Amino acid sequence: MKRRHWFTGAVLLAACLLVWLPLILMTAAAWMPEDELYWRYLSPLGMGRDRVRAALLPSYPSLAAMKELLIGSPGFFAMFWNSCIQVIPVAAGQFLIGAPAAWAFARFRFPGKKQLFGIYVILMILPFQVTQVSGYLVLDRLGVLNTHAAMILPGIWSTLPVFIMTRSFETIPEVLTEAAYLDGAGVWYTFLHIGLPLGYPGIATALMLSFTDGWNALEQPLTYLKDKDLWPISLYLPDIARDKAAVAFAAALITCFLPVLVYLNCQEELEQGVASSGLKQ
Amino acid sequence: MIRRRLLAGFFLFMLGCTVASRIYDSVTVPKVTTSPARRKAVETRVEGTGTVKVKEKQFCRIRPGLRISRIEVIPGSEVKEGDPLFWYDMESVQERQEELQKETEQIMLAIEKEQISRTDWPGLTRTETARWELSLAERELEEGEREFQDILSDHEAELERLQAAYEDGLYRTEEELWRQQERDWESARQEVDTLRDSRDEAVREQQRKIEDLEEELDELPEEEESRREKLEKQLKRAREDLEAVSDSWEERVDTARFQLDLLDRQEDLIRKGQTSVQEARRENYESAVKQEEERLKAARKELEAQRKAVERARWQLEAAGKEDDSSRKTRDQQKQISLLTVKGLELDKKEKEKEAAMLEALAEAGGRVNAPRAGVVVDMELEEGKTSTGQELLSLTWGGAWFEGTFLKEEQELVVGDRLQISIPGSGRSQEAVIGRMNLLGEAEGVFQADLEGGNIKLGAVTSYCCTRQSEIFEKVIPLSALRKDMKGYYCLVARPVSTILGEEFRAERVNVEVLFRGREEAAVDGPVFDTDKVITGENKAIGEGSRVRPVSGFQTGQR
Repeated sequence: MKRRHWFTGAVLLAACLLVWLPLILMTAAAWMPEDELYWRYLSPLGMGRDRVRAALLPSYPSLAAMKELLIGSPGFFAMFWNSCIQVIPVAAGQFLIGAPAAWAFARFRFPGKKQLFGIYVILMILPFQVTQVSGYLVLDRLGVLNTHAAMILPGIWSTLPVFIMTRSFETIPEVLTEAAYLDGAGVWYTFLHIGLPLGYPGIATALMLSFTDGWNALEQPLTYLKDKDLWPISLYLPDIARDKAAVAFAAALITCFLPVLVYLNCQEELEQGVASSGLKQ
Repeated sequence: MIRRRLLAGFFLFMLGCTVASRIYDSVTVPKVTTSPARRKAVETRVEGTGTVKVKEKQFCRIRPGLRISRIEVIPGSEVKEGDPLFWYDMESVQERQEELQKETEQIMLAIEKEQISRTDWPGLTRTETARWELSLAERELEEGEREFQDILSDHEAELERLQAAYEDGLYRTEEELWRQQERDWESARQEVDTLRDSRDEAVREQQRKIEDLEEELDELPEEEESRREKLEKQLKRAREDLEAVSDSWEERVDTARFQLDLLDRQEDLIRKGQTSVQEARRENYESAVKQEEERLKAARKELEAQRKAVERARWQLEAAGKEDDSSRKTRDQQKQISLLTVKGLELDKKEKEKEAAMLEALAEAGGRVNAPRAGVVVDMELEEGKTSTGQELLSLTWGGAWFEGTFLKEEQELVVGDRLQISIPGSGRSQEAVIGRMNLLGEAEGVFQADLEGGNIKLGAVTSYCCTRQSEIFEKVIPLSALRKDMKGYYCLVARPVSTILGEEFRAERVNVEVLFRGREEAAVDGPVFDTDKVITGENKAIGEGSRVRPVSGFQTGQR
């Protein structure tokens, strides 16, 4: 039994390594000097037909790329803070707007509820390219194109977090809310003191996914933001010059840090939320 | 808890790096000073060197052929009027005086020679000679014409006589010929008859001989074989002889008959007048006529020659007249030349006398030459002890100078009227002067002259000058520090704003320009430089096309 356990563990570890391989290669490349990087990854960079010489560790570790990125690339940090400016308000807005909406969908009965929720689901599954033009026109009418608001407002009213939070609120037993009502609690009191604490995993999951979605956004900033000084960090790597490949790997590594840290902070809630969103009472 | 600290720490780390990168960026981005392209004139400054030269000089006359015994001045010496400049050697002065005396006498002799050579002596002219020869030729022609007329009349008479004699002789000859013909024909006919008879007789005799042999052969008995053979042989020979005799006689008869035929044909010739005698008479006649014609022809030729002689004599008379005219003019010309030569000699004589008088005055002064006026000696090329050639310079000046300077025509520009600042050597001050004359004919350098007032600068001093000028108005004038040059030509860098991740930044863009005019500190250019462009005039670090730059109002240290 114990031997079988070890075998399963080894298989899973091998699978994990396979999944982690790009991340490991990226981490190693971030510490490579420029010449070694070209020597190993010349062909993928489109600068030759030589074979790729992938390495899990650099032959000649160097801090040059990190130094160039962290000290000599103020644009990278400008984009990092742009991403923060655009993503954090979205998460906060979704918490303020999406959570009550999800509570309403989960706890109230009103005419057209199912149809309205159906529209939410449809909007959720539509790809961005479908709503791109209409979204552009709306933002233009609102006069917020080429501002951070062009990225924040559509994110606040995103439908996926509402869907996830609705599913999470629906897992809260009815007896708890009914008991609160019987004890004289109002709607907002019940939402704030019973809904939010008990639906926290769902809310955290929704916000985590929303954060990741905003952090990795490519089409939205390219469509709505004209000035480069408003671009988020997701556009740094496509914009970086080819002769700064080592810096690009370093930037990719640093870019990963924040989502990983956010995930580590919300890991338990995310697991509970994902699990709860697929369960029915 | 540690996860939250990690998250917070990451944000703090990113914040710190943001600040550090901004600071680093502000330090590393080159700072540049800029200036817009302006519409204005370009100031140029022409600098160079020149020499202070004498404006007016008086040259002292140096007599050639005299030795210099002593020199009293050197260049730069100030002299007063009457001060001695140098001394001629008295011995050479006296020698020169003697030479002058001889030369004067020679001139007088030459004048006398010219006067003698002008004298004319009468003689026979070529025209007179030619006229006499013409009259002689005309007389000869008249005589020749008369003689020719006589010859012509004699010729006609002779021709008539010859023709008559010929015709008479021809008639008489024909009669004689007919008589001779008849005699000859008769004689020939008799000859033919005689030959025929002789032939017949000879043939008959030979035939009888044959008949005799045949009879003898028939009668001969058969036993005498040898005799028979002998007779047969004789018979054969006799027959052969008969044929030979017959042929021989036939030939003689034919010959006689041929002679007779000839005489028959002779009759036709006589009848036609074509006999040899008649031909001979005709030839004699024609020869005599020809001789007469030749004689007439010779007479005509001689007459023609006499006419040509007359023509030649007339032409020679005309030519002689021209030659005599030319000779007269030549003589007149030679007389005039002689007169002029005499005048020239008289002038030489006067010159010599004048020089002799001056040498006399020089000898009385002991060979001393004085300064004609007060001034400064500029040139002194005489040397003590040497005999002067007359080409040595000895000049004095009495104030007035000009500055003569040069400039590069391709790079610098000066015109008449430009004001110059000429440095006074050793004083640190300068003197103003105006360009008055200019010579631009040199290949690379131009030369100008500017009058100097006041005499602040010594003659011969080499000093510098400068001239500040304003060009015409140009539309785009940039500082010289903004003008750059590489293999592609002149260009300037312009700081133009671009939108970047960090906001609006300035990048150096290359703008190719054509330099229209280059001044001391600015240059007029033509190219896509706009009024709003910030033309980079200086930077604290090396920059190139595409470099990020930060325009500032000024910085302490710069590379350019």
